[in-house]
Amino acid sequence: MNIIQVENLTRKFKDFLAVDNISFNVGLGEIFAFLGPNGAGKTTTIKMLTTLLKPSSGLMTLHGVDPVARPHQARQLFGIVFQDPSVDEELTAWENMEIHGVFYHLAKDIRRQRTDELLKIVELWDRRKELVKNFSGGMKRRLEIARGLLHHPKILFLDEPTLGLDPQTRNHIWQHIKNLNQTEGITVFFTTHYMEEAERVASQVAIIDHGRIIIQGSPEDLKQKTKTRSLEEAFIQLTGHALRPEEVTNIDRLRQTRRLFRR
Amino acid sequence: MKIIYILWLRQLKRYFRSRSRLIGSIGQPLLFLVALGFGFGSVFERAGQGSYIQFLSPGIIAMSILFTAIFSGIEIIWDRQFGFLKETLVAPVSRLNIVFGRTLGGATVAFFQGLIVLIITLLLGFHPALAQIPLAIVFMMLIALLFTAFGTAMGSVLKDMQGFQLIMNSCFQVDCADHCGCGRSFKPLYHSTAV
Repeated sequence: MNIIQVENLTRKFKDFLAVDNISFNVGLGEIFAFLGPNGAGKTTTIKMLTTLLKPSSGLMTLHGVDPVARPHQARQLFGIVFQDPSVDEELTAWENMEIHGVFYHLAKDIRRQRTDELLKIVELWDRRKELVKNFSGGMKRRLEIARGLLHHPKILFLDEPTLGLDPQTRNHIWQHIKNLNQTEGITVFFTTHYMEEAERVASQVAIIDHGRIIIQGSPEDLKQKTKTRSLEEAFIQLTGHALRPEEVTNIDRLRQTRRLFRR
Repeated sequence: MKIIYILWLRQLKRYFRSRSRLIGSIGQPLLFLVALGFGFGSVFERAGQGSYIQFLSPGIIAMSILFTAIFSGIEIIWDRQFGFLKETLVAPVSRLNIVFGRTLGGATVAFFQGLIVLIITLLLGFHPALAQIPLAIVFMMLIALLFTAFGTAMGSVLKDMQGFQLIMNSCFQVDCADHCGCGRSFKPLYHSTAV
């Protein structure tokens, strides 16, 4: 059974075609890696699937629900960890979970029981009363994952969840995600630039470039089709060695400002 | 209602936990009052204009409310990309509730800040007529709500901080000095300070 179905999805920004007629399916309980170079259309696709952006054309469903026609219902179905941290750093870990629970209309006792359970799973229960601004990058990510799972979503979207983290923390986070995939039966849809992570964790992989999906299958399939030894080699063979032209956006400028303030 | 309450509470918690914000919010008006008050006070009195602190205090109170209220809009721009707003936008809550919650929270913080400055001015020698204090408090609430709503609306539309600051500065120059005369009747800050 497919939990995510995408058919001929397209998104245009004026003259720029960010996502060009893509189609793919994600099976229930799968860990699906959506890979591609910078500016390939990964985040735009996630934004469309998570109701943050409307597609120019095409169809998509999340567990049978159309996120364009029924955004409120679709939002109940997924949890998300964004590329940039989205936890409130002036609040404690517990308060962040509490607010999320209220947003998803969870009853107080269920909210508290689930918060306890998830904070224990991601090993943050002892630090639940601490302000998030005192947490390390990895701890914030773990909290975001726990928060994304609070309302029992069927799908967890992770947009570069391990970006900028050290190998130990990355391993730790993937271990948690794999555990949650097995224990909660949750479908995971993630993007990353770390190919070895995708190869190790994902059961299915799709590679997008210039807004089009160029290949899809299991990591082993992709290696066989490209006659390469690793997913990274397959990725480079399929997407080329050339650097991608990127424009500095307002968001990039804000990111730079944020980094400067945190020094 | 619960969504509005939790967003309101969040704004309050953030304000009271940020020591630098608290100190800054008191420090700046205090600096104006002390530096200008004691510096120009005697000159102002000699020119026969009465007590300078009586003249300056309403403006300082209104200014502190205005800046806190309007710049809650900047928080939205920041939050939309890096923070909490993204999380609220993918949650099954109405956009209107998000706007109400944030506006009420921002307005409460701005009003509270105005109240602190009012107390400081009272301690420094500002003596308003007692009967006028309730009316002044009502107006403080109104300008806090109005300008937070305005800042929130602008922050929701604009995407970069420089643009936000530019537009806000232009708006307040119109409020403070109406050169063309077209908006003479709509000068909320001017009239509130007069009250």
